[in-house]
Amino acid sequence: MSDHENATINFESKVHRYGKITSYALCLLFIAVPLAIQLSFGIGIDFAGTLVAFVAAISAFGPAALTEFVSYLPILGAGGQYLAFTTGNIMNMKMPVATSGLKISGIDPGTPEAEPISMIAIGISSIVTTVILFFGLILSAQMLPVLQSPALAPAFDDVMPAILGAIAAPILTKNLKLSSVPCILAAGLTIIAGYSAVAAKQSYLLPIFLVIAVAWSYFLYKKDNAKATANE
Amino acid sequence: MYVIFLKLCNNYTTCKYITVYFRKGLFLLNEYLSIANSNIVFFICALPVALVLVQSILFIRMGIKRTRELGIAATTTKKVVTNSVVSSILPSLPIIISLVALMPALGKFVPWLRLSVIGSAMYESMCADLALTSLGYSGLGDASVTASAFVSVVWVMCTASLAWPLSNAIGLKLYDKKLKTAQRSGSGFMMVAAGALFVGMMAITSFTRMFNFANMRSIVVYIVASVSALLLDFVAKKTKIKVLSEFSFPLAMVLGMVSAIIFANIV
Repeated sequence: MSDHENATINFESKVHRYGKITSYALCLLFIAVPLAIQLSFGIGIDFAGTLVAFVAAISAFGPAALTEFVSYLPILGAGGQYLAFTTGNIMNMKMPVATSGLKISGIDPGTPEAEPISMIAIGISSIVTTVILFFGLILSAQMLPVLQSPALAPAFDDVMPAILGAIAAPILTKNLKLSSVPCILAAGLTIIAGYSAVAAKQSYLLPIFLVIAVAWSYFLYKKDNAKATANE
Repeated sequence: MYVIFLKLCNNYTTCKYITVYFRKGLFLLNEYLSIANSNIVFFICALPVALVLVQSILFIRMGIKRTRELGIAATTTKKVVTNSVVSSILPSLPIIISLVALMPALGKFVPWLRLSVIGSAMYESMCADLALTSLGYSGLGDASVTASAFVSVVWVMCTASLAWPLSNAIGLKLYDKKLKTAQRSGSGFMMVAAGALFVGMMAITSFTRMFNFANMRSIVVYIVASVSALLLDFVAKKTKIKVLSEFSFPLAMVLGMVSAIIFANIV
């Protein structure tokens, strides 16, 4: 086995090892938070009521977690996904910085180079967000009047369209033929069902549209190959 | 566990009966906030936040080492780092608004924990509200929430979100192995498919915003940000000013946000 192959196996193995360790550690710490509060202050809970509330919450969010688990790996890479699923804020921060990082480094998604670039971009973003939120915690009284000022409020209210417009345009215009069917279907669905209905079901629609896009790209790929063969 | 019933009357006209649970001493109504804002809760919540920082540093170091193995220039890595820093600042600021919005109901530290770790402003508010209504309260902002109910909400918010890291811990290695095997053994189509996945994601998560007719300002912002990104890339290519291309995303995002302010003042 070549050095390159050894290095690749070593890298992938480390990513999953540390990814699993940190993910399990986070799960333990998250269980420890409410448990520690209970033990520190001697508070009992209504176990049955809490269980009912948990079932309601997991029913609402569990399917979204599973669809995101399936959908994001090809885009973020394994390392990026371990990081993104730990810190959250995937659509508004992790995915855009990963995409932007690939673009400025001139690296195509799905290549071996894409994974470390995605990991670095998402790791840095996680640190920045954590630090800013910490300052937000201690300086909330000072920051809030600025953040909620009537002058700036429209900008923060519409930060998501700004982020997604800036990220999507270069991707969708890079290959208009490839973008055509997924975009037309997305547009049609939104016009018929309404934007709020589509946005509410986005986590469930995402894997469907990934499949549509891949199927359409396969059709175009086969068509181009057939044309190339015919020309030969 | 002791239970007492308090009869609270307002101006001798309306009365409500409140059930108060206490164990070691009396927890009065809303005293759960003194627990929620205590130093102990701060330190308990700080541990998972610290883990996020440790994990990030660990993965960044692994990523940098891997870029060197693959022959990616250090200058490229530095550009990615700078771009990520700049692009993460503005989108982080609205999360502070969500943080402050949750503080009156959940104290300072639990919202900080939840928004910093496996965070989503939308999910956290919904989860907390869902937990409280399941426990028989009217929702976030219900003045009768007890310490016991607060802890129950923390249990629900923390454990329901474990679906994300747990799915990774259990299934990601196998899934990644299958995907990489397909990518390595596949033809040139696998590269095309990787690009198609981005297109599919953008179509359903981003392009749909062009048709959010209930919010015309968001459509304007989306268009301005999109056109700005394309223009910046175009100008960067023509003028060879690389920094325009490197920062096209954050610049286009800022221009989009500025257009929101202008639109709000015009309309």
